[in-house]
Parts: sequence; structure tokens; C-alpha cells
Amino acid sequence: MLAGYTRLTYSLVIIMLETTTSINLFIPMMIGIMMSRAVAGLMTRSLYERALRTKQMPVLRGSIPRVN
Amino acid sequence: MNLNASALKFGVQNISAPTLKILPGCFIVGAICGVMGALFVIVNNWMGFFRKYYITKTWMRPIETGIFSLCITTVFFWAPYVFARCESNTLPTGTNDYTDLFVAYTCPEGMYNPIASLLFNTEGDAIKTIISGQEPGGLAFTIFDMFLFTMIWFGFTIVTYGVWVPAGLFLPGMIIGCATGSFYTLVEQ
Repeated sequence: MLAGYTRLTYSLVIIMLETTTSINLFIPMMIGIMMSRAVAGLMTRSLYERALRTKQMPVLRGSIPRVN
Repeated sequence: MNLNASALKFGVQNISAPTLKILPGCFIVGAICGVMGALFVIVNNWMGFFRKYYITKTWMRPIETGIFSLCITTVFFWAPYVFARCESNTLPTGTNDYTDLFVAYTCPEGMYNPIASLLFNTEGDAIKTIISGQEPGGLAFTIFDMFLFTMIWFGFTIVTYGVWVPAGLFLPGMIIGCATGSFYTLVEQ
């Protein structure tokens, strides 16, 4: 859920690893978080990007605009 | 004693080593949480839009906050009362590690109310409570308990993020994800 709207990936895995203190769950956590991010990425952009767009701030997206 | 670290350490001790059986569960829970996260973004964006549109004066914002907190407090107080169910909190053998997590709401001595234990603990303790359900000596939940808890948290987190109070998104996200995983586990069993 947290990965679904903030799109944190690796840092979130590390945080969950530290809080649950169980290294055994590393790979399941990774899979779950990557799956959540991918599914949410199909539907919307992240919460903070949407907030920036709502305030109409100029931001660069993932791809650089091809204007010379 | 780590009294202040209750929000950071969830204190999980005996988790069995994962096998290949839990991989489909990872995919399914991840997909469900992804859909919920996307829904969160969409609904929260619309809520922000409506806030900009209707709440134009400064004095309206505390009133909105008051209305929301009244609703949330009412639901949190009455949900364990309406769906009350008492279970015994004593183990036949040995001592219990989770004695401070049990909340006897309207139950008699020696019993606890599962929904009250989920809702009345602090946010870090709520995660601890959910995880302890998988272990002996922990709290026992039914599918309906978990569904109710997830829906209460999800519905109110979606609506209230953005009101005129400083509020975090970190622990609510973790709690909702944790409750979703627990719900899936109960359904699978």
C-alpha cells in the first residue's frame, strides 16, 4: 500500500527489513513491493507528482523533452 | 528497554522461513495493495480539488477538521461495541508475551475484544497486534475483523489526508498493507 502511492522501492524494503528484523522475508517483501508498484504504475502517477501537477509547478518527467 | 522505539520495532520473533508456497500470495497481496494505492492517489486528488473549491475561508478549515475527527472518533469507539466478541486471553501453558496488547473493552476479566485491541492500541502496537495473530499466544482474528479494520483505516486515510492538521502517511500505509496481508492469509486458510 505504501509502495502503491509513494512509489518507494528499495528504501521501503530496507525499512520493512529493519522494522521486522527478519532477513528471511527479504525476497517476498521485494516481490510484493515491486508488484504493488507495477500495478499502481499502470493506473496513476504517484501521490507527490499528482500534487505537483495540481499546483501547476513545472517539473521534468522521466523522459527529457526533445526540444532543441 | 526500548520504550520509544515501539513505532519502529515491531518485535517479530518466530516467523517461519518462507517457502515457495507463499510466492503467489506475494503477487496477489502486492497487486491488491497496488490497486488500493492507486485508488488512494485518485481519490485524494479529487478530495484536494474539492477542498480548494469549497473551503475558501480560513475559518472553515478547523470546522472541517472537527467534523472529520468527530466522525473518526465515533466510528473507532462504536465499531468494537457493535461487533463485540470476547475471547479468552489466557494460554493453557506458559506465559504470554503479548499481555500489554490485549484490550478488554466491554468484556469481563480474562477476556479481550479483538477489534478493540486493533483499534485502541497505538499505530505501532496495531501492527504488532496484527503480526502476533500468526503466532501462538497472539490474538485471534476472524476474516470479518480484518476486513472491518482494513476498511476503516483505508476509508479514513483516503479522506482525511489533506485536512488542516499535520498528519503522516507512513504508518497508515504500513498498517493498511499489513492488514491486507493478514486478511489474505486468513482467507487462504
